[in-house]
Amino acid sequence: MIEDCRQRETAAAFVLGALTPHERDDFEAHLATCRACRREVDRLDAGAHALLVAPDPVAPPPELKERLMATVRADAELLRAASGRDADRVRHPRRFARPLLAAAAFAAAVVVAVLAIDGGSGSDVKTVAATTTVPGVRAHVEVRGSTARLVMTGLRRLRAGKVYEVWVKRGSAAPEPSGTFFAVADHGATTEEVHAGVGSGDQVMLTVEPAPGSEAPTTDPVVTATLT
Amino acid sequence: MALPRLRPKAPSRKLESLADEELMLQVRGGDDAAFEVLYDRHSGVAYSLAHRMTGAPGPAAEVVQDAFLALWRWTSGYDPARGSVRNWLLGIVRNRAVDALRRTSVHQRQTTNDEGLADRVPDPGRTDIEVVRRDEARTVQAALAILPDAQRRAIELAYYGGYSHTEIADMLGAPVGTIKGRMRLGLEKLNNELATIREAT
Repeated sequence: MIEDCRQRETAAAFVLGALTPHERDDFEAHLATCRACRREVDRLDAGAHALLVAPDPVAPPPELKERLMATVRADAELLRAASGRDADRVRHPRRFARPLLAAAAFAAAVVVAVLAIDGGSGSDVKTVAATTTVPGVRAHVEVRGSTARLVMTGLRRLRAGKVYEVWVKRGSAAPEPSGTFFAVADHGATTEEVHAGVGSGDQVMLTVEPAPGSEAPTTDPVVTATLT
Repeated sequence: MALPRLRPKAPSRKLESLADEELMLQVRGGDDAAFEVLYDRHSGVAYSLAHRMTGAPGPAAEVVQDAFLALWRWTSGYDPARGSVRNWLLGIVRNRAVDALRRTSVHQRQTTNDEGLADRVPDPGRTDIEVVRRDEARTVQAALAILPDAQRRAIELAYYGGYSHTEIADMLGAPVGTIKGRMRLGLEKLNNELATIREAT
């Protein structure tokens, strides 16, 4: 070998992921300037990649696929509902979709988690009636400590490019986006976690917004609830 | 959930004929059917690795779910220039499994690993993908079996156990320099063996 380097011995530990984060950063910086070590890493990488496929085959449980596909299909449907035939889709094919997707996915995860922990309505859940401006819509808010969820029926399905967005208004301050956005199925019933903390006197509101959601409401609330 | 569900349907033939890299482009566009094809192709190898590392079905499923969601939500920046989709995905699985292992104490890690090896359900290996997988795993296992125990142990503790070279040195009562040397010699030998086996077939 024509070139050599004192640090070449570290390359094996590097490709095996056996360096501490600090050592790894140092070695990566070194790799940028040392050809001998880069070659050593390339040479040893093949063996490390082979280790990824060495474990005895074990079949994943079928529920894993069911769980993942349920999440993925719900995300995909939301994306389609949010961007559909909207003109924004042509101008910004991806820009809006991902934040909405992430927010929707997070909301879905929170709802699932809450349902799992809750398993029904405990005695410490307070129900607050909401007023609605659209005929046929009924809504209430379930508050547990500083968390709230909005339970609604009779919501109409939105045109492509529109989403429902949940807001929290504290005192005289402007309504804050709660980070909860959703589309709704034909039957119009849904329960949505408000994932911003809430307290007594706060208002939880629902508006229709252009996808992927707005920083401030652009339409009048469909639902308003003042927490007690 | 509020969202209307699509009726589950079998992935189309057309998607199944696409390469992983092409499917990734579809996934980036939010195509759940393309995602399903990638899941069917790689969930077996991903789960086997996660199971080997975490040693138990629950944590293994969690790790694999996280990794595939990272793929779907495009949060881990796949770059085709830096290697195959499979190696990228398995790299995420390994990182998540190491994170999961590091959240438990050294003692628990060793205990779960031993328990998990006893009660796992072997893959019956019926489909073509599974048959190819089984052959692939056996090839690498055969190459690993050639290594001296000390070298294999250092490699496995690092790669599957998520231990650092200094932790391994403590566990095995050897200087860090010796452990690094065993890792290098072991990987070199593994590479050579794999090259020999590939030439022979």
